[in-house]
Amino acid sequence: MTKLLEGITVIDLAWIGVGPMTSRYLAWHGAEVIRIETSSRLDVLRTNGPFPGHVFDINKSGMYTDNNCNKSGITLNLNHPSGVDIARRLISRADVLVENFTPKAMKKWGLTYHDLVKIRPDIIMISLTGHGQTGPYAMHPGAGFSMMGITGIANLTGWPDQPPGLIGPAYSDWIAPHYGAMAVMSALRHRRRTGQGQYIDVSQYECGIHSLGPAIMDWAVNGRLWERQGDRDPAYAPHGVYRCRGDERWVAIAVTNDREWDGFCRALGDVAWTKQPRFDTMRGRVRHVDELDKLVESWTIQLTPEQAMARLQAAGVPAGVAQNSQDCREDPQLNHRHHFWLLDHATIGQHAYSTPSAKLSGTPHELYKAAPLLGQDNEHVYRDILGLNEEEFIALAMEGVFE
Amino acid sequence: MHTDNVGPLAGFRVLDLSDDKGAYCGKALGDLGADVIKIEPPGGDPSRWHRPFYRDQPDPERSLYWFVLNTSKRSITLDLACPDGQDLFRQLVAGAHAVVESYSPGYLDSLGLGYDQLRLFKRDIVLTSISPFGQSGPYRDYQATNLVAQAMGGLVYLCGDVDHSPVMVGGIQGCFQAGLQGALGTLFALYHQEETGQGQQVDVSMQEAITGGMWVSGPHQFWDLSQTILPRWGIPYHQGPLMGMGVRRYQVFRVRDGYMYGGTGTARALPVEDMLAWMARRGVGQELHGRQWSAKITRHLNAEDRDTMEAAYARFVATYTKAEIWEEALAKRIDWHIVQTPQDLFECRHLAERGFWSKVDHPELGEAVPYQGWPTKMGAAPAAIHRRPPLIGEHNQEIYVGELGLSRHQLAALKQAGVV
Repeated sequence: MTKLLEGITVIDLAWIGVGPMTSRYLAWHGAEVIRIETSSRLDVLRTNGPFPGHVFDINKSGMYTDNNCNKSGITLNLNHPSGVDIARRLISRADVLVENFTPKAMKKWGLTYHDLVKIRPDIIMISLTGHGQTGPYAMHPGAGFSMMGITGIANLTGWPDQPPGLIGPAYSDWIAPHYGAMAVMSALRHRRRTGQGQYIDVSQYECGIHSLGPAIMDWAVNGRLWERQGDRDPAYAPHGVYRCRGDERWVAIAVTNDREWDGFCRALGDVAWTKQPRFDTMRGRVRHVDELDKLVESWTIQLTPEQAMARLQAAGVPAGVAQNSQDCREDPQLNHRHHFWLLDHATIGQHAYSTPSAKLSGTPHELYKAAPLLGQDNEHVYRDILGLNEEEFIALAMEGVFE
Repeated sequence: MHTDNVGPLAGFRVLDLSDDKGAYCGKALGDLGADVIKIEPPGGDPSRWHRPFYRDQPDPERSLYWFVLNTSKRSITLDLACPDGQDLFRQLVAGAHAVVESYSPGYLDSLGLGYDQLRLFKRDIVLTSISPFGQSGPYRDYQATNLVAQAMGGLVYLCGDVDHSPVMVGGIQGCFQAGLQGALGTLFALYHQEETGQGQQVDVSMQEAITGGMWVSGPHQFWDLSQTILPRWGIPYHQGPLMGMGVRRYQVFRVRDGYMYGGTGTARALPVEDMLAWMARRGVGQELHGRQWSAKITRHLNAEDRDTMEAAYARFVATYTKAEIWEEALAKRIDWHIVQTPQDLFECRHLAERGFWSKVDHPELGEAVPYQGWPTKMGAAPAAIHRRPPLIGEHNQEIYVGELGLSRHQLAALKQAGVV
């Protein structure tokens, strides 16, 4: 099978989420990605788990592994002068450099875009930070959790009478990587046509705002601020997450037009309450949503969420299980799409990795290498790729350059 | 606002048949410079009826929801259900690089416009299909909305308070993620097409676009590695033992006029002494002085000390307004962030200085409307909003007559027949 990015080399100097997930896209599609880490300041995700059997091990954290498949992993001490020199040599043979440090760090190491075009004139360099490279907040740290606040995502999540947010995952981290990878692919295309590289500045703050489009526009044009509305929608009812039989089992149901309401009633066997005139129109259902939701739940509570979903979907009603960890891993549709790819990890053994949601038929993504142990590929990268001889390699290792 | 599309994807032409499930895909490719032609059924794309509307006037030319998803596109109308419409569509495909669609799986095939048939008219066409669950598989015919996709993707289960039903993440995440990830998949395929002359299909699932997104508590890793089902954290966020380190990182605190994200264990945290001195200046936390703390830096405190400290934080930050606490966080460079509303975003000096907002002229509305600018700044080939969202069929004449070569008479006849 053709690898789409065969021959493209990426240096991944990023850590934690947004940067490594950007380079992961390139790795999924066949680029050679070399992930640079340091043992003196571990990637936080190596320490976060989940770990097999709940036993802490920096090489077995599921959050780390998922973001770093198909990458070669090396350790390099950039605070050692020879470390910076090695990094520059690696970058000089690369097409793309990905990094997500605060703007000050790259300057300190002499690894800014201006430094790097001198050694690789057509380099594509992408920096992904919380707030971007310019502006009054540029130096402010930004992590996926708290960034949900400033982007406005948290403000619209939850119930009006409760605090905002309450979002389990660091969701805002899952927005910037798509923009980042798109910018790199656009830049590779631009380079192919013009021979010109470029610098790309990505702000996670700005990426997150894009997911709220209509709410932003409603303020800008109509001066209306949206309230948090939990799982409800001001235009539709029933529209919510309803309790089902079992412990923490829930089904999401969204009836968005009268045809779907007819299907909904049919799925419930046309029970009497569905025929109340106040529920005849969408307007009526929205107005009486509190009573309606109770009645809907009196039906769902008798069923498993899978049963409720199957009956409603058979009647053309959008409905789905609020799937938990196990449900997702075992979901027949996700598995039909091979969302989870099993790879043999050096110390974990076989375990599952995520894949992109856009499946290409002709040049599909391919996962062939489990995430690296810390420094697992030092010898391969420094000796086979960079061409250090044994003596040089050992001497630099002794000096602590590969820490 | 530019009138002609430039940008890194200049030269690609994309036909956009999608409704709101896929609209962001075309918007992204358009803002990046592709020539995107929205093909709407006569009367317009049904998602033009989505609220909110400009000045609350329900009108298919005034949907703000539609506006944000359809910048940098031209629009033509075409009835794909009739043979003449299908014939025109094939002619358009012959001059295009990619088609984006979000019909029910199998619908285009039923019209004779599936991938294998389109290839006869454009050998290397890229066909991107965005659907709730994908083009094949047991749930292929299932329906989904934003809420249902977030539920099936595994996001809903993890959000909300423990005493309440789970909630979805606000905004238009399902459509947004599917469109965004669909645009990236399309771009991969276009990159390959330009290099090799090979086309392909890109199959995007809204559910999967959400599933892939929960990396910080990625469900499959927890189930795979530790047979653990992640619960909702509720209030406060508690990244407990499941996450390995037993560190509570972020909490939502109430401040005088809103909320903020903060905590003792955020990405950058202060030494205990500095925190106590800061709190003392606001008259809070006197009882915390003159005792031994389990660590020098707040993020390393043991559980008991952390609870004590966080309870003091809650009283302390409640003495500030959002604007005040944000200035403090910025000055101290600690990873606290305020919870902003759209109003706050518009008043944000950082976004203003970075030129984030882009005023786009809507002559029909008699005003320029502020849009979000593209969030990646590319030095050599910038993206931008190249056109305001089109009116229904605004470019019929330009495209059918000017580019496809129909005569005015033929176009009039097609209009008469309801094809255009």
